[in-house]
Amino acid sequence: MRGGDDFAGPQGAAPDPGWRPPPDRKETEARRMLWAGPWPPVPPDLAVRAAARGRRLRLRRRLLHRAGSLLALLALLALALWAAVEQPWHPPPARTTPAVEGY
Amino acid sequence: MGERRLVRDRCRAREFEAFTAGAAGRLLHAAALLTGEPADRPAPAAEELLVRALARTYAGWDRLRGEDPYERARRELAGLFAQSARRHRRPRGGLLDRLSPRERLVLVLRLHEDVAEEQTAAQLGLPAERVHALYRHALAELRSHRPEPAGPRP
Repeated sequence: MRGGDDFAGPQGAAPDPGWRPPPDRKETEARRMLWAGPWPPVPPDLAVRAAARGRRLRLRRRLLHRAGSLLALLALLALALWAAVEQPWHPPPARTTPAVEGY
Repeated sequence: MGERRLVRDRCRAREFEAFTAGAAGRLLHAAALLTGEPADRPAPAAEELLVRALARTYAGWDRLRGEDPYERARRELAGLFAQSARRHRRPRGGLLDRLSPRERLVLVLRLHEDVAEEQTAAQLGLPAERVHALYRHALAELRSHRPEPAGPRP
C-alpha cells in the first residue's frame, strides 16, 4: 500500500529530509530486525587499505585519461596533415578530355 | 605545481580518513547484510566489497561537487554489489540469507539506508513497480522467518 494522495511522498530525485514514510507496523518491525544485534567489527586498517587502493585507481584513471587525450590529439593532427596535403575540397583533376565539338 | 598537488593529496587523505572513521561501521553493517554474512564476527566478503566501494569514492573525491560522500559511497557499494550479486547467492548464515541478492539490495537500501523507493529504482535501473514488488516480497520473507520464535512452527 502506498500512502494516500494527501500524503506527499518524495518527488523526484531530491530527498526531503523532513519526510517520514507512513508508519507501517511491518516496516518498523523489519527495520528493528535489521538494526538489532551486533555489528561486524571494522578492521583498523580498512581506511588505509581503501585509500591506497583509491590512490592506485586514481592514478590508473588519470593515466587512461592522458592516453585517451593523446590519442585524440594525434588523430586530430593526422587528419589536419592529411587534409593539408590532399586538399580534398578541390575537385579531382579531370581524367577525360572533353568531347571535341565544332572543329 | 608539485608542491600544491602534494598539499591537495594530503588534504584529501585527511578528509577521507575522517569520513571513513565516521561511516565505515554503518556501511560495513549494510555490506554484511548484503553479502549475507553473520554480523557477530568479521565479515571478509563485506570488507572486500566496502574497500572497493571506498576506493572508488576516494578516486572520485575531488569531483564530488557538493555531493554527500556517504551517499556516493553507498551508491558505489550498491553498484558493486549488483555487479557481483551472483557471487553472493550462496547462504552464509546471515539475517537475509533466504532473500535473493536483489531483494537484499532493495531491502537494505529502503530500510537500512532509508533511500526512497523512486531513488532506489533509479539507482538499480529497475521500474518502480518492480522495486515495490521486490521490497514487499523481501519484507514478507524476512518477517516469516524471524529468528525469535522459540517453538516449532505449526
